[in-house]
Amino acid sequence: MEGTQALQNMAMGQMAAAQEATLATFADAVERHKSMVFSIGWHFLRDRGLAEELAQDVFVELHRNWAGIRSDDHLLFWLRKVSSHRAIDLVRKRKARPELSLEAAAEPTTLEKMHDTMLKSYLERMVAALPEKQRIAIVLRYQEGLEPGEISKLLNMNVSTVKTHLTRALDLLRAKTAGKLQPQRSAKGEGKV
Amino acid sequence: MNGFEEQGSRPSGGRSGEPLEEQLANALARCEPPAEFTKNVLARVAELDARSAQPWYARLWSNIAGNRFPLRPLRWAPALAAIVLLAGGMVYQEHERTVQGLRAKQQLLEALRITNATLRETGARVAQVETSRDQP
Repeated sequence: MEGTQALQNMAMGQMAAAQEATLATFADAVERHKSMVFSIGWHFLRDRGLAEELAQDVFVELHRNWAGIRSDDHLLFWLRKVSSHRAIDLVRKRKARPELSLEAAAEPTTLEKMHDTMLKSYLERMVAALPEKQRIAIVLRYQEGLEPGEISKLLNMNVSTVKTHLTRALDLLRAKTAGKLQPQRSAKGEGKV
Repeated sequence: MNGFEEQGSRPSGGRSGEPLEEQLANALARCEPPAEFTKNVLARVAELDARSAQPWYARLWSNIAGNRFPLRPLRWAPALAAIVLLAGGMVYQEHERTVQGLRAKQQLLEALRITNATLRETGARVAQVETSRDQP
């Protein structure tokens, strides 16, 4: 009887240790990828509260599916895919409307060249006002630096559809920012207006 | 595709150098979530683990008490009330129709009974008259 009890205790101890190790690995994954997941939500929703809620939900779901994650690449793919789909679902479910439509957005006509901070904020708002599919394609392309082929796998779309979304989005953004942009300056602020 | 075909063939993250694309990459750079983010996620995971270790009735109760019930009863309450009222109305109508039918049946039976009794009485009188006529 004592032997059985000792074996039981040992098994329980091993299970607890394994759980702890899993949790530590999971916490490490959260720490490494939180900015990526949060940023997808933020750039897509333009609402910090919603973006945080979305990111938390994604990581809670990741914990539920932790056993199915096979590698770091798989983890990254899984997180990007779930974040993108959840962001789209969230907008549809809450019928959240962008703060402004691209057509209604005032163009900063008074400035020949916009100041970097203003331009950044303006572009963020422009992106947030794009239609859902175009918006997520742009976020994945320019936040994550993904190729259309990679985006198509994440969003379950044809590559040509992704390219169409990107082209249309860029055309819209180009039309809105025509003449307001200048090539990206170096970090030292060379050529600042 | 408006020049996007060429961009698609570039290595990951590569862009054309067009000002808009450069500025987009700058505007859509990753940003950090609030400081407590990881702690909050781990707390939620721990809470979910603790909840999943509970028996089903305790989970159900905590769902209801915490308003996390999947059906969200309050949201369905007006629809449920309308269905109950409609069903009640239909049952009441059916009941009224049955009662009216029974009442009509009873009235008919009563009328038949009276008619029967009257006929019997009349028959008896006719027989009586005939008997008295036959007697000298």
